Amino acid sequence: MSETFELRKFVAPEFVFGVGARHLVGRYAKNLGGRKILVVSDPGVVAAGWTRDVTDSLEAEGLPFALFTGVTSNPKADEIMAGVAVYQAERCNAIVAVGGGSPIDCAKGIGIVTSNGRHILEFEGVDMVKVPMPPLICVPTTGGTSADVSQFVIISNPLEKVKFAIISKSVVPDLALIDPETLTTMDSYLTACTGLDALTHAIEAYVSTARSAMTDLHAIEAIRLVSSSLLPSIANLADLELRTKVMQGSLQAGLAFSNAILGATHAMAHSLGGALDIAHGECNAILLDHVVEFNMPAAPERFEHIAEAMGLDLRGMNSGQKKSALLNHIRVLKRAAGVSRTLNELGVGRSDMNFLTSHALKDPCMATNPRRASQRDIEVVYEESL
Amino acid sequence: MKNHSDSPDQLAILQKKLAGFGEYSLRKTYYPELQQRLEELSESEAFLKNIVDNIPAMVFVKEATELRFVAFNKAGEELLGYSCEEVLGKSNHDLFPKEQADFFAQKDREVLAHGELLEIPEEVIRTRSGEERILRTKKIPLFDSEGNARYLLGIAEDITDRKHLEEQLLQSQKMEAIGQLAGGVAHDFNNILMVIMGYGNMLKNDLGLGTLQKEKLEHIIEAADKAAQLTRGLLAFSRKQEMKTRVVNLNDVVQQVEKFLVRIIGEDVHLTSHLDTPDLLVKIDSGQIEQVLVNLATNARDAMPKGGTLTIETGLLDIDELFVQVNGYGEPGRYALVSVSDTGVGMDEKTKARIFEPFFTTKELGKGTGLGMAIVYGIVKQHHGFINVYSEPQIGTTFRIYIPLMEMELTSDEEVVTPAPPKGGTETILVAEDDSAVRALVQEILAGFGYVVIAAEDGQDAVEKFAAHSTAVKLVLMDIIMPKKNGKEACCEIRQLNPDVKVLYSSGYTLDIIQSRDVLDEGAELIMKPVQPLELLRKIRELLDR
Repeated sequence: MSETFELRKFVAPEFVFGVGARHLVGRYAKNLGGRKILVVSDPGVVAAGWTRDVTDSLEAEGLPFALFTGVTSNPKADEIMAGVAVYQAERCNAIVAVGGGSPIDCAKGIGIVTSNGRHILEFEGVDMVKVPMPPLICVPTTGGTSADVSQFVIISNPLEKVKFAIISKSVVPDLALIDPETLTTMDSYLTACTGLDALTHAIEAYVSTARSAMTDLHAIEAIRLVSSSLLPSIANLADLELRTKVMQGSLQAGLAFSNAILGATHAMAHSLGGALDIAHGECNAILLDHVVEFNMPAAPERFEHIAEAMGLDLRGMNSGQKKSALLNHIRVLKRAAGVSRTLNELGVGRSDMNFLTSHALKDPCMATNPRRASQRDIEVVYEESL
Repeated sequence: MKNHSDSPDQLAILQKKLAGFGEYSLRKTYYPELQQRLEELSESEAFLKNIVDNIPAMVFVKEATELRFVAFNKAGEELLGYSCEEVLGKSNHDLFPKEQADFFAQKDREVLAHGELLEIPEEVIRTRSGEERILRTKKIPLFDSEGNARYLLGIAEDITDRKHLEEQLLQSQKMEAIGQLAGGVAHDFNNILMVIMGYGNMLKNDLGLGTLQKEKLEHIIEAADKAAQLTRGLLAFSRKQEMKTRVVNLNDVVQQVEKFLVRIIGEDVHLTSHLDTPDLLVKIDSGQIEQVLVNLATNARDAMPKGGTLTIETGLLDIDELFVQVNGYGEPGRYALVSVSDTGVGMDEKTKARIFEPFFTTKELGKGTGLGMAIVYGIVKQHHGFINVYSEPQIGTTFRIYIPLMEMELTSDEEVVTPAPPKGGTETILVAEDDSAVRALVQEILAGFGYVVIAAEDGQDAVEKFAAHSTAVKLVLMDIIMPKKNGKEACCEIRQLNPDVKVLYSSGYTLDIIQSRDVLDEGAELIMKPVQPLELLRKIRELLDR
């Protein structure tokens, strides 16, 4: 087919990767023309001390800042509008996000709303942001979300119990300062969830219908890095070298999925997170093997590459054996990482199936899933994950 | 697989978008310089909008193809009663009656075709409320870089109020001019009449004249006298009358004159009055103001041939700049207000516009001189007041007279004079007056206050009537100019019959004319016509009691 010759874009922000990158915030904020900086973070990250490092760096450059930490996991539309109010009241002109996916998505939301002057709910969908946002610098502190390099913003609308995606080149940050050291304050469970999130990104990007040669490179390398370093990193939380590998895996997974987009795992995880406010990484981890099982017939070769990248030797296996080898590997990895809960244990019941399925089908990530899924297909995957 | 998905096409479109280049979202960062420029731009937009909105004229822009509004300012919203949102996108025909819209569109096209500014000195536009306003409009073509007229800019000034004021000004200028003319004519005319009457009277005494000639001469003198009365009216209108001002309470003046108004208006007309309780101190010639009221009441009576109600009200009114602006006349200040209303036939606009012009009358020929209202106008003007009239055909008419109120600090020689209510009497009075209407009026006034009145219609008649009642008559009220014998002649003869009898002359001429004509005895008492009832009664009482 002509896939090889299809035109594909690859969008990535400038990023600085390495231990100590977070201390560069002040210099870059100044270079970008910052006058007063809105620092978006969350209480956990503040307690870990990373926010302080960032604000110290701003102060060292003589840049005034306002701190906004009113963000919870799965950032809510109201939290974004509250942040906008702070941004405007403090007359800020640039934003720095320090934290995991929630503060970064919140910061992106604040940026969109301030420059476009409309409510955050109005930007749902693809390419809906017309006016670019103020300069945004991201300092990720979890090795998972990759929101710091992606063109995704995921927002919760608690009123309708859904999460929605804003996908636009406009929300790609100007700069990511990716500092593996910030991962060292994560406990083993959070390390596991975020690491498996990164792995999910890489796997979904690799099998996405919008993938390209450039995204494949990053996706496959991300799978290699995360699957080899995640368990050791969980076992040695303070090992900066392992942290760096996971962080790089996360970065490359981010570069891949930001351009290749995702698939059914994310569509279903968004639906779950919106309905039940469950942590995104854990949702993905729970669903991943079930979705892989569903998708595998649609792109068997791709999944073989994935299995090989994970270090599996598939030689001499028939397709059924290959499939169970990969699924088994993923399940073992999940268990070893400590993610053993099922949806049922998180409070999901059969009565939720209808709501979850219908919203998952509407999620943009479903559009690039390698296998077209029906209502029943998705229900079955959810049921298997119960 | 296709049948597994409920909307495969939607999904395919979404997939294309996701894999695509993000054509609809920009990847340029909203840098501070850009933020700054956008901020400046929006400030400048707001600044310009503020300017356009605050231009005290309707400003609009229409696009050249369909002539639909693309801009509309705040003054336009206020003028037409449509909001900007309602107007934008609409055409002339969506907003205005066909005839007007056709006119606007025609002019718009003209401007766009010629590419030149066009001024429309006057055009009528209907507002949302249905009111019609007069606009002075400039229409200007706006060109694009290639010189095509793309838009039409309009600037329209609401000149309705100004037009109204211009009309008012024109009216007052006309009155002024007529006054000047009338005054000038009357002055010269008086001199001429003086000559005619002087020589006429001299000739009358010529014993060589036959009865026939004398009779003709009487006609000449009579005509000259009538002419003199006219000139007197004109003088009053042209404000050349002598004023004897005093500070009085206008309520008192009205209250006292009311008693006579009852007689003037007749039985079929009911008189009601509402007099403001606080004192309305004004510096006026009360005789003249009485005349104003009498004239207005006379008019009112004539307007109500089948009866009705005459209402007199007084009040206090603060006139501010706004009043002046709205009405187009008057001076700011505090005024005493007298309104005289009737329930009569009313007037149409045309009549109303000319009501104060001398010799303008709607009455039958010979019934009115056409000077009554002109005199009212002159007197009020002379008091630095102003008058307006409201009238509706078949409903009635109201005249409002505004007289400047005295400031409360009075100087010592300007004490408030409350005119003493006139006292009547039972004495017999001989009234010699050739004008039958005046004679009847005076007779009625005096009789109303208890006096016995003997009426005489000329000088000769007066002498004869006096001779018949020489002992009873205590006072003779005598017009100076009368047929057969003038006042002075008649008086001489009467004094021969009874030297002690009191004589009071009346005349419509101003005092200086009377004196210059030597028709008055030295020390004789004179009362000016038209007779002011109160003044007449006071004067009579005063003389009788002397």
